Amino acid sequence: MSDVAEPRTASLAGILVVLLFLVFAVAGPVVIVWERLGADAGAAAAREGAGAGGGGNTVGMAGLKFQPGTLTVAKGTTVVFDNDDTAPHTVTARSGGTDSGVIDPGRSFSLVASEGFDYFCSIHPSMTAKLVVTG
Amino acid sequence: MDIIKSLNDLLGGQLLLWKVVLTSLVFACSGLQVLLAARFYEASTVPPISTGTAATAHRVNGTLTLGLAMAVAFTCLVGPAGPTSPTRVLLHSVFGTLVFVLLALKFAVLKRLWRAGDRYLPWIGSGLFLSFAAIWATSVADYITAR
Repeated sequence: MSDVAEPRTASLAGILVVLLFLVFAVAGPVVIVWERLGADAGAAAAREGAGAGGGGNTVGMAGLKFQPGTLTVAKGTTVVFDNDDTAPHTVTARSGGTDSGVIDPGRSFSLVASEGFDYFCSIHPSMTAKLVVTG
Repeated sequence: MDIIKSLNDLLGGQLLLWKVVLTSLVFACSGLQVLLAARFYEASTVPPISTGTAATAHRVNGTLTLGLAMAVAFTCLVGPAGPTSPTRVLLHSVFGTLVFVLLALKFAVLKRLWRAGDRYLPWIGSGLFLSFAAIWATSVADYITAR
């Protein structure tokens, strides 16, 4: 069918190409297991932190979700957004104004709450949440 | 993770948009691959080109598709890969893995590592196209509907 001659025997290059694809195929499941082990360790650390009096002015980002989905704080409160995920995220107000820029995994972004707003991650738009400001 | 930040900076903060464009291009190219394969297997008269030309075009378009797919896959693996929730993300990972399993099978046949696999090439090719479609649906489609 092809007008280009096919190799008649397996070559080292052919083996390497197949191995390269297998590496890519295996990489996904390996990353998932690796991150899952890391997430379990992180959750344990978070529970310890909460037991030591962790604050209620923090929004976590993990598993492509903001937690909590709605945070209510008093006006003037400093709200911290922790990226505990494996992916970079942003805190971007739908109405414009607030935009954290890229928050890399393990990094945080904070703001002083002056007014409530709906926000999302501009990298993963399905991530949405809301900040409610009282007082 | 710094790789992703560097890439994002390099692309003016538009890494995700580039991934959306390239994933769509890969999907379109994989559809063209099926058409070209059907032509050089003489199962179709579309596109109206010779079987030899279709075979050559299939090879060139396949190389392009592979290069783009691997570039996008790399940015997924070193970046957001890991979470299995929501289901969309899990399915995206499953089909991403399936693509490379199918590519390994295809090249095992093409490179004469699996000689008896010749008869499965049309099925492998169709599987690749469907997997690319599923990857597109679990990423780009979500990106578009979320806007």
